[in-house]
Amino acid sequence: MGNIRIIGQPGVGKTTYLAALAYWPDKKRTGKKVKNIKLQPLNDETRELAEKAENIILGGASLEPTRVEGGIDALPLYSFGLKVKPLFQPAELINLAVRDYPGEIFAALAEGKLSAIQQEFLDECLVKDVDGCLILLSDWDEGDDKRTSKALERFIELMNRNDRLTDLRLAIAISKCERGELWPGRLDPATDLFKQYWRQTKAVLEDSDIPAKNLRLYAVSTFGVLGATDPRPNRVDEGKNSVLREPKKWRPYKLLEPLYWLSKGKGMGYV
Amino acid sequence: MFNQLRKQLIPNLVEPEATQSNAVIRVIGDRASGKTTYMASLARWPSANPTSPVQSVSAVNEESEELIRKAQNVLEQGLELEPSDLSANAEMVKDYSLTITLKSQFSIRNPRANLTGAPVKLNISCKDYAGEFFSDLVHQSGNTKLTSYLEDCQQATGILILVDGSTRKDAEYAIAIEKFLRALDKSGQTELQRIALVLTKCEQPDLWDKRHQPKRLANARYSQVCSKLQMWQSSNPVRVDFFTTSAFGMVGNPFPEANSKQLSRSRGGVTSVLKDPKHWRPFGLVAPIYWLCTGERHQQLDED
Amino acid sequence: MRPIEIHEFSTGIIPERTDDGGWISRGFTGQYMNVTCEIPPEVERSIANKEFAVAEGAFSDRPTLIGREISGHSGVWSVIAVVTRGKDEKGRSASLYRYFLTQAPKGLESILAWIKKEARSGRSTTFDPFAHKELHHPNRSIEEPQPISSMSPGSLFSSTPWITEPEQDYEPESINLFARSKARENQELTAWAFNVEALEKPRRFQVIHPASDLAIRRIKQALTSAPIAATTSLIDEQAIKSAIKSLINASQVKPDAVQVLESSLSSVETVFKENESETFWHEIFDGQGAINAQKQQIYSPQMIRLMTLRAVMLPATVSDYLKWLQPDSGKKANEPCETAVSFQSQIARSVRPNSRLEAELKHGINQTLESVFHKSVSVESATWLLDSSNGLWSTVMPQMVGALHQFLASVRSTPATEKSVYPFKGRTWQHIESRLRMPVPATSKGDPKFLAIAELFLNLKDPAIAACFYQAARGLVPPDVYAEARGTIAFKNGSVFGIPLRREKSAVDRFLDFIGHPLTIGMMFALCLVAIGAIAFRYFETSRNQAEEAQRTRRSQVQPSPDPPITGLLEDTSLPETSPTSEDFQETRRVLQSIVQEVSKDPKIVSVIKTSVSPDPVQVKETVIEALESSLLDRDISERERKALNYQGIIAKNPSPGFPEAESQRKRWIALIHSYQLRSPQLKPAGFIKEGRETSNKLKEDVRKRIMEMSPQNQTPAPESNLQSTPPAILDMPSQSNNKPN
Repeated sequence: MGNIRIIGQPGVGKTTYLAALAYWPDKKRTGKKVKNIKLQPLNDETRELAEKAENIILGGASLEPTRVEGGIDALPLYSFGLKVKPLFQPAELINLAVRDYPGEIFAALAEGKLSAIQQEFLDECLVKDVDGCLILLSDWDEGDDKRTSKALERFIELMNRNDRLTDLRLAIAISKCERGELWPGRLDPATDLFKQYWRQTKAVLEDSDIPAKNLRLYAVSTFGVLGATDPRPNRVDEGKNSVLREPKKWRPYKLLEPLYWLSKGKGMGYV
Repeated sequence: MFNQLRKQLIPNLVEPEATQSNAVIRVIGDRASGKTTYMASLARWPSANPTSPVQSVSAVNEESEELIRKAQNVLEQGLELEPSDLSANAEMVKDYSLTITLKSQFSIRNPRANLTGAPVKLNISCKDYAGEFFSDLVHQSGNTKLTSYLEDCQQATGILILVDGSTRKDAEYAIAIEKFLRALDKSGQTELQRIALVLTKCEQPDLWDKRHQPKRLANARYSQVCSKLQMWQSSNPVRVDFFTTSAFGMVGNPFPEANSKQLSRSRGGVTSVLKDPKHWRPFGLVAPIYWLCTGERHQQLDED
Repeated sequence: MRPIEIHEFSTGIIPERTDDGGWISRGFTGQYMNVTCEIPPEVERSIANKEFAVAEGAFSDRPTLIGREISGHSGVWSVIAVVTRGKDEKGRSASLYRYFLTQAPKGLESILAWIKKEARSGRSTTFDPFAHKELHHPNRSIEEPQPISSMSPGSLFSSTPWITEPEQDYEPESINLFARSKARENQELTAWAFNVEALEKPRRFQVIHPASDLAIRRIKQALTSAPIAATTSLIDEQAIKSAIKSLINASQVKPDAVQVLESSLSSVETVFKENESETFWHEIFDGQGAINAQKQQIYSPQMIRLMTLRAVMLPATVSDYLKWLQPDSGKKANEPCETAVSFQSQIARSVRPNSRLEAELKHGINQTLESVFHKSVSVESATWLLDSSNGLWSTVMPQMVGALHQFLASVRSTPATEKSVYPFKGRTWQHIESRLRMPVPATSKGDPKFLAIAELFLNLKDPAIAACFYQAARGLVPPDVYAEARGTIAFKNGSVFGIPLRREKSAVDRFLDFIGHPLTIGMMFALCLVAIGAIAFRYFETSRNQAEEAQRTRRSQVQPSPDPPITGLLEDTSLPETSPTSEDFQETRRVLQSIVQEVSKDPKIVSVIKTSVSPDPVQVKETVIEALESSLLDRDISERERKALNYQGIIAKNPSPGFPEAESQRKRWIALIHSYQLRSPQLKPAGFIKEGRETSNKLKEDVRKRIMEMSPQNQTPAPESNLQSTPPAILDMPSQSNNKPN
């Protein structure tokens, strides 16, 4: 149900995304109640991540990159318990087991040169009991679209080779949509964002044999904006990394939706 | 309720004698796949769920009593069990005798398993081979030790193949299992009726979620092993089925999490120790035993 | 000094070098490594019996040393094991052993001295998978061993094993010396443990030096719960366990394993006192689950084999075995019993004549007989055990039966004062013997204990023994048993084995007895007299009738009968529910008259009567009337009864009014007709007869038949007809004595 892998270019914010999940900004932390959603870390690795989120993200520092060395087994496996109570529907309990891969894997995929150790990561990603894969995108220059589309092409080919073409869900999400250029397009990412910035990527996905029901495009924001009436990003750029600008106002945008869909195969509904 | 109803319908109903099913079991699997932990947790049967169909598990011989002591002195102290020594000769391997009593309950969900309403007793004698037996299958063949073990396997009516659900050794295990099955064919065994492939350590978050689909999970993680077993089954009267278990189980509500502390993780699987001995409730340990004994799956045990 | 040879071998693992220069284990090999000599079998057995084993779960950082002397075929070996902790690639740790052994005198001291020297020169003597030792290249030592001197460090020293205080900073050499002096005192081989956290067999040491306070607690706890087998290393407990396991787990019995058990029976006996050796065996079998199988009713094939084996080795448990297995449960398919029998038959093949095992089986039979006697085991269960065609105990049953024959034969032939040689031990048999010596008064119920044995041997098809025990039980032997016993060699002059039997009477006997009884004879005699009297009276009557025929008219009938009122005729008959009207009775009269009329006109009848009764034509009608009355009565009617019926007065003529007897006589007729109708289901029991109906027809036919039967040609049984139920007439037999039982 909820066995999910996260891949994407280096620095795209995969671990930060998970840290935000682990440190779910619920009532205890923000003073405001998040209605109908409860998210809880379920193992030590996830709790450690939550602690990092507290000390580093909120403290204005950034997370270290996830490493390839040590192989797949050195990677933590994050585990979340998610309780969702959609409007007019009974509450659901979902277990999410999520792993984020080092960005180098995606980069190597784009270049088409995979080392043995990197291959091992991808094999693990395509094991039959993985339900879905979240691919995070961040930059929107032409080079990135090209690299991403290349990587995706190879990834889809690997899916085919591992007999996962028709039973692996793929969620492609623009991860930092709090940026001013992207924020207005978040409501309809397929037309307003992908068509404009990731044309090739979108084409590769549409040309592939992945059934449409197993494919979804999202725009999410780990940092969010400062408020409903203040669409300035709640982030400060520090070179390639970003840190939270105003921790008190941290409201991530649509973080859970892609994970929910990847594990359940249906939308989360209105919560 | 149904029991009561039945008693009303049939006056003077004497509590029927327990029906007994027996199995001689050999537990095989790679080193550190959790064989002794499985056996020790089964023998210890800690903090059972009151709604569990299992009434009791009791040690019959001194070796299984020793197993309980190991569970208490090692597992419950948050320590790891020592690797089982490889005996030169299969006759020297410890043979654990246990009796598992299932409650007498008449269940609509599981009518066939308990048609008589009589309690069911599962009597097993179970040898837990050192993991070297299994790993040697991959690398060696035809030494006297292996021959002795394979000979000993002929007494078995059921074989439990334990694999750590989190390894990535499908290919190697497929080789070992193929060799093992071929050796079984050659030995002309007649007693063997069932082989259960059991995924252990399913408290791991990526396994727990799919514990109720053991066949799917086994096929996903060990596709080569599964296809070897299924191919062999098609040409043999021996049945093969799949199970998921966790010796340590889960703890907590409403979000249960693994009751284990992970020590290491590698290609060969995870190693962990028990985290909270007070809330130690293993998952799925009896289900494969029930199937090995009776040839039928017990729905409640599968869910327990 | 000539160097001594110190051999060594180590736990076999697959080692792997780690980056830091150390090593990890990638698993056990199941064989020893770094071996410099063939490992002496006695040393191997000692290791198998866990005499060097440190228990799992606790370990200190410093190495543990276990030293012990082991005696074997090739002399005494001194062995010191150095135990350390190693890790495998999964991070699990295991105990790893490096054994040093020598046959030199003062071996333990020599090894210790050598270990010390190696340590001084920086060479490790702990487990090292990369130590590289070769076969036949032992370590050589020229170190002078420490001299052996007697030492006694305190009062606690007297207890064995002596557990030192961990804070006492002893050297291994001192521990060795303590152990040596204790060993000499106890006349044992030296055994000590140095710096241990836990031991599998703590009883097998003279001195234990624990590593910590916790270790003391563990060791002391292990000592209190240690089974009796733990006290000695003279018995290869592990070999016994292996043999039992091999027997209970395999469907095929290995004769070797049976031999191991058989030979250990006597070796256990030499080591332990009698009740201790029983305890030893109980611990062994309970260790394999016997007690739990019994308590929890576990009937797996392993447990059935184990319990069978226990019943063989521990004959005292035979009755528990039978109570557990319940061969008398009456179930059609008793699977456990089938498993037991097939295992028994396999074991039976390994039992040699006059062997120790055979003796145990005989003990078991003795136990079974005693249990049957004391009613703790049912006759059915014992029969199953002793009579199974494929069983184990049944194989020695012929011998036991022979011994029992001898025993029984000796009971009466030897005087009570002389002490007889019992083939069976115990007070039960003394009790049996004294009972057999004395005559037992006949009772109907008898002693259930003796009866149980009698029934058992009846089941086992030994009627002679069964007869003896019946005699002892109730002073009587059932006739069928007696008859069977009569056919045996043991039977002579109404006795078996010299024990006089009294045959119980069968039903036929009792009848014959009754006939032969003086009282019966007297009564018969009296009855005969009565009968003769009756005949004489009848003769007298007849002649008087003939003489006074003319006067034999109404007057005589009017005269009240001198006889007491006839009740017999009415006794077994009863009046119909609705009494017939006088019209009915009138018709009945006419019918009866016409029957008499008709029959007496039949020439055949007339001729029969004339030839067999009397040529007198007057007698014809009279005979027909008598036949009619007899037919209604279903037996020959007596003269007195005829009078009581008074055909002439009631049927032939309409009685004149005022005739005092008429009403009761009419009732007799009605009752008689009613009973006649009741006898034949096809007739309506109305109590009267209608013209042309079934009753009249049948009666006519009956009368005719009755007369025809009188003819000499017709003495053969009546032809098949509806008259079959009529018993053949016994003429003139007094009815009273005819149907009296016994």
